[in-house]
Amino acid sequence: MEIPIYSRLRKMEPSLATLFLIVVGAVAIIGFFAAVSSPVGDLLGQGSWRLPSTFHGIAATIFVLGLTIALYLAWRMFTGEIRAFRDLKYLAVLTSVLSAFTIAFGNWIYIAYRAPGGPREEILASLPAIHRVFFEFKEYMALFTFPLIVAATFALWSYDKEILKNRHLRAGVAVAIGLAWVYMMIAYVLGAAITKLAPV
Amino acid sequence: MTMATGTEVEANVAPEEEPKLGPGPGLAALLAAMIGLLTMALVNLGTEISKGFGTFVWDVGKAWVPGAAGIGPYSGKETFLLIGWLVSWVVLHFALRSRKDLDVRLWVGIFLVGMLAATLLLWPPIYGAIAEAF
Repeated sequence: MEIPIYSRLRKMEPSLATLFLIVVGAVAIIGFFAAVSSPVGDLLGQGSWRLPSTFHGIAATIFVLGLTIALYLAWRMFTGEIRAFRDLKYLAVLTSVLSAFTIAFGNWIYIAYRAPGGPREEILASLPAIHRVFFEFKEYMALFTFPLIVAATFALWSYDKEILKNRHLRAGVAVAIGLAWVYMMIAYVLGAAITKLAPV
Repeated sequence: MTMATGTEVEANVAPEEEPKLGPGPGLAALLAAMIGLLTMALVNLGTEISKGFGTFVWDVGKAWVPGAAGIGPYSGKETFLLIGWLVSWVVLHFALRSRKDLDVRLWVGIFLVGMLAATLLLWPPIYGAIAEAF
């Protein structure tokens, strides 16, 4: 049975250009209000680790946006109804780079986290279980994203649209992107919680 | 670079046609990612069981990771993840690239089971309990 709105939604897919404009627009609006309401220096913070931690947070946030869009397109690929396949290919490359950036900056601020008098000591003294269970899990889950997205990117570019002919392989690649999204969200949410508990 | 539009139908392929490239390279990429992550999970477990192994893993990280002295054995665990991932990818890629007879469903299933195992092995209460048993 044809359900008009559902059928239309199934056929709709945003183009990369549209998504790009939406992201640029959203960043411009947020940037405008941030710039007029707060000095940039205060936004970055005061500590000596403010720049790497800012880059880590920005890279992670763009990564969340990019991989969430990729997740939607991966679902379309999984069902075999994707139209914007090229968008998924480029998003896979973009999110691979963002994963690498986020991990690299995360490594950098991990030095501050572990340093004497740093957040690790603070959290271990007050909430040892939080460090033991959540932070340690987060630091590994963040690493899971990179090989998974690179593997998906490799498959998408190697097979191109031919991958759609193999139901199980396209499902495997779509699931890899889905898993990467889950691991990214675990790392992102726990990272935000840790920043709230004890910032670097 | 041309952008796809919402009305453009790009992926109009007949499902019964076989792709020109066999499933081997794609499966190799997925399985290698899983092997790298499982390697890291097992190395992490090893560092929990043996302090000597933990020192060795840290030394491996110090050999090349910038700032490894500050981030501890984590640097070595990242190194083993990279080694397990990239070495197995090269090996699997060349072993599977011309195989057209692979049971893709089975291997994707193995990939998923391996991912679940790697995730569970890195959940601190689980690897802590296993390490205590040793």
